[in-house]
Amino acid sequence: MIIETKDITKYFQGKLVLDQINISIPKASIFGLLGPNGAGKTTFIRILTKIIEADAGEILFEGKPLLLTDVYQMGYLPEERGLYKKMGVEEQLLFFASLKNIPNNQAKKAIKNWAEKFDLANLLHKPAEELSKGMQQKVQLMASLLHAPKLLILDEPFSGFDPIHAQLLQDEIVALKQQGTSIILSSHRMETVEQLCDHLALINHGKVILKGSLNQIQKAYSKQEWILEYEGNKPQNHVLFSCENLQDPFLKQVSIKPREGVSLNEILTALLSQGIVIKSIKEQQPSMNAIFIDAIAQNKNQYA
Amino acid sequence: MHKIIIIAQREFLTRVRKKSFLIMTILTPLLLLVFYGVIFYFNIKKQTPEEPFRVMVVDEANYLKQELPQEKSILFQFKTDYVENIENILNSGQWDLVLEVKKNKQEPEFNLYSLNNIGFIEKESISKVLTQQIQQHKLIDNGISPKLIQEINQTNVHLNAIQIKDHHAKANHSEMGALIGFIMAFVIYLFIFLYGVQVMRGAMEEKSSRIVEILVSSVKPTDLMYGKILGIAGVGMTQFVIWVVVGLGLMGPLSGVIGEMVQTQLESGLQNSVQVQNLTQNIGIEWLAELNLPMMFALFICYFIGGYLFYGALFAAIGAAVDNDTDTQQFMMPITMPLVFSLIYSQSIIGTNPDGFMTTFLSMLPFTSPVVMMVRIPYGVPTIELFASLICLSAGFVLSVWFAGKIYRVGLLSYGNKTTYKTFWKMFRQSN
Repeated sequence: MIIETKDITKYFQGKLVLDQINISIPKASIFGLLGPNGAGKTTFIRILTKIIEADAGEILFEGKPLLLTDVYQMGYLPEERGLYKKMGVEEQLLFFASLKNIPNNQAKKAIKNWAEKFDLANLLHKPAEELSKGMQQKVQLMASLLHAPKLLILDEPFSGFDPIHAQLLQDEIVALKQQGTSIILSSHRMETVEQLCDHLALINHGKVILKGSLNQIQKAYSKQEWILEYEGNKPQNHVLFSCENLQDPFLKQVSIKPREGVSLNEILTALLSQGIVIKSIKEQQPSMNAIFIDAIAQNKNQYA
Repeated sequence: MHKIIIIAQREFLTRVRKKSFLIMTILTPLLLLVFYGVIFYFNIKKQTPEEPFRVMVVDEANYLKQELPQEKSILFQFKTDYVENIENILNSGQWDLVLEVKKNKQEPEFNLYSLNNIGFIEKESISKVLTQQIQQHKLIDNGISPKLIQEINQTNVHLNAIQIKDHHAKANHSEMGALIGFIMAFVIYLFIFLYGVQVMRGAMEEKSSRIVEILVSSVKPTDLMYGKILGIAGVGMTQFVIWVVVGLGLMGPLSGVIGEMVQTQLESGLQNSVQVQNLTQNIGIEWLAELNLPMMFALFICYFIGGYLFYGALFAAIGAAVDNDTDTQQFMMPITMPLVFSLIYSQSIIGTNPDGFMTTFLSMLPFTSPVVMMVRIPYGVPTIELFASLICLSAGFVLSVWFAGKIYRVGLLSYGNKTTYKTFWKMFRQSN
């Protein structure tokens, strides 16, 4: 585990904003930190980066209590971020790097590498204010990457990127993970979370209301439904399962919902005995979007 | 410490490399020179008009006995054969003023007519000449010989102020020293103001542009503040050193010109050339010798740095607490007030008792001591008071930096709320 938190609790002026957060973040994986606005994600990240101190609880970094020196091995791209407008791009990247104790020549090399990847090489000498917003965001991202961090924390990294650059960023995140970087990703783009994250935690009102690996969570929220693609006759309701039409009437697909305790094999036998030609059958995965909304709604009911 | 230096370096380099730094460094002294030059020029011009005022004196009762001392700028001429009305005389353009002497019961009455407003200086000098003349007549009428009167008029008292200090009597030429002290106090005032505001703007820029969010994961906010204050102090020092070096370089060729200007001003301002000589002798090198300039300069540097640190930290706190420019105004007020007050107050020290209670108190208070003490020093301040003042100032800036650090930590990362004095208090408490 790169990070383990134990009962992290934080109050702001008497108001509980984080309530006993217990999260484990495995190494070399992408960890999704989800939650509605104001749930406490940024506060949690600020505690991880030691910008603020927790009122109670403990954080372990690679199994040992988190120190300030560990924070320097993190890269943090905050949600709200800016650059020195009048300062040259390379110059301020060098400044950010020197604050992370990277020697100048090493930083220069890293800047050159990333600038080529991000298509920024010929903009390095311009003042930041002459760059487009997307370009500025790449510079900010570079600032969090230059010291090759062990743990990279990205707070809404995709906001403001066009689809092409968002894809580029997504590919880079995956590449970093493959190189062994652990990544915490906070995002509202559920489809990205679905595509990228190995593990995730959902925070609402300062509490973790859902956590685990993507597979586990999807399984837990799975409604046990199968999407059947068929040819010829349409399947009918059966004692073993119910059959529902899907939204698109032109596709020859139905949703099959098994009765309790009925296995897939029994359903398939029943379908075949109905004389239906099975083209494909797959489990219907609940979308992260649906899970997210569902979990928040349940949480709300608990509060009510 | 290492990070503070990196921050300070950036603050320093980005500012010094700006074109505006170069422009300001050159322009500020030039503007000051032009400013004072213009004042000087008009002063001289006023006192030596190209044409003297022509005054026609109508003295039917012959009070003045047909004589008035002629002045450089005023030309009196007696006319007895005046028939026209005064307006016509003035309209003719031959005369600028008409002075009418009228018989009254005991003292004569004088009326001065003109078409335009009569200037204060003209009025004063005519009045002076008349008083002198009438006094003289009265003296002569009472049997004092004209020779004695002349001697009386030439009496010139040279008062040597002597201060007894440490059982030694020494001449006190505090006026020129006070002037130097005041100039130093003014430089401190200017420096605190200009660069304090820069610290505030810097903090605000980082906050409002959200750069601080990136910085804060690698630097402690308090270090960020220290670095900023130090870096900007470096900018000010650089500017100051450039001025001093250039100033000293120009001193040689310029001092001749300035000396000449001073001379002409004095000559035109004072009629009596004996006085001029005495004065110019006074502005000799004598006072310089006893001023202990190195000591003064060392204290100047102490108050310069101490005052800047004290105020700079407070300015930084404002910059960190506030979201936008317009909000800064109300919080700057309570900080700039004592500063402005100290400058105005120290002007009043010159010429009055520099060891009074109020002055002593203000020269202890860190809010006012950098400016007030600087003016007091040339008059001689007991060493114990100097130490007390410097200790107060040091304690002051340790406190203000501590206070500002607390505000800075919380303020930099909180946005959106309208900043009030209550917010400051909340921020201060929250960062415990």
